[in-house]
Amino acid sequence: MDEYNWKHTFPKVPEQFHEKVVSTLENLPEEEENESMRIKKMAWKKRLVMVLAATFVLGMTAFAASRAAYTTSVSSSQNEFQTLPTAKEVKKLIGADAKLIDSFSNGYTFAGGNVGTNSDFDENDKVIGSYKSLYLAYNLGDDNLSMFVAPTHAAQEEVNSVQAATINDIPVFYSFYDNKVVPGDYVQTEQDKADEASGKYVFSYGSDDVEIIRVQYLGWDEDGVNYGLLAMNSTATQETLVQMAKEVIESSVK
Amino acid sequence: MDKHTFTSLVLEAEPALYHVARSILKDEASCEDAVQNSILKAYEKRSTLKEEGYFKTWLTRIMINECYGILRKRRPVVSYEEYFTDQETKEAVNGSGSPEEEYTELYLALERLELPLRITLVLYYIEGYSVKEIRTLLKIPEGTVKSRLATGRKRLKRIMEGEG
Repeated sequence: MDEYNWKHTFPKVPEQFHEKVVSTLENLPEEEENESMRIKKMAWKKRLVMVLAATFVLGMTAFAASRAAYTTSVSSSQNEFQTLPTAKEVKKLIGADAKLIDSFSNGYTFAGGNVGTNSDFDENDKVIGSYKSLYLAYNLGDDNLSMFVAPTHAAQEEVNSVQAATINDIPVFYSFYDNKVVPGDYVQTEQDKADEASGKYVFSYGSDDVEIIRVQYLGWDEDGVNYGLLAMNSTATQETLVQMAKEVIESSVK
Repeated sequence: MDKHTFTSLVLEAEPALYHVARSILKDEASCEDAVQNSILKAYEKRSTLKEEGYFKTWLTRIMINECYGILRKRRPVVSYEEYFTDQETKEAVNGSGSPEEEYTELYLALERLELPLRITLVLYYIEGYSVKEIRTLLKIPEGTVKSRLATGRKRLKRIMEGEG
């Protein structure tokens, strides 16, 4: 092979290819634009977390007195906090005594949170319940999870959730699905409609880009409080979430 | 990594990107699509690159994946290996490229190889990657890299000597 002149094997890079490279580079956003795009992307993902957590299925629950057709969630930046609230603060914020963890033994650490206002609607668009909730973000390197804490509220129809464990006599339910998130003005293709009908994807609207997100949720009820761990495209497994639920259940209100 | 540094590194890697794209995709329009998408993806993910010294290898890997993605869109039901072995072999044997362009004899011989062999030889002999690096770039075992190099060399020799 040494006798071949490998160095000049290929023809010169064509002018059009070079122009494509140059024009693509020239149109790349500057550093500041990229940062604001990143922040914007994080904001809509945070909104998605809130909606998903508030409407996710728990599976069967003995506490649900009514069924909600859908739930809306809103939050404002004024409701954000960077340190974990105390029990007294939680009681004031959401009207319930809840157990919160600052750092889990697997390394996920509290990274901020906010308070959401949620409304459950029936099939006639009538509000059947309204409540506050806490959304807590946990980071482990580049991976992140969310925890949802709210007074027990109306449940939605069960979709593919299974009882993953029983911890201190408390059943813990696990669900997962692939969420196709699309911009608000997105028009579904025929394939999208087929995918939605078959259950391949659940659609969520309001993102900046089209993205497929693997969503996992682990939820349980304890002493009138609904807890949920939400993982989106996370490396966390069902077992990871169950272990984290165990730590919460075995902790006490502080 | 700021935009200026990123731009310089991409321009430095441009010939390698072209060689890889042309080895896999053959037509110039697809090569241009692949390089555009690769640059955009690399820019978005540039914070994940730990050392600038690995930029070219990292970008080449993105490019290979992008080219593979374009090929899969053409034939979504065919596996990577199956597509390369079947379809690309036929194209290679039938020849490709514009008649107006001038190609070296070695280039034309490379074109006649099946894609798995061609891309391996290009990465090794033209881009100078080691067997270990090619293993990572193509996501194949080291043994497969060596086997492809050996088979590719043998076939190339036969073609160059007029026997293949």
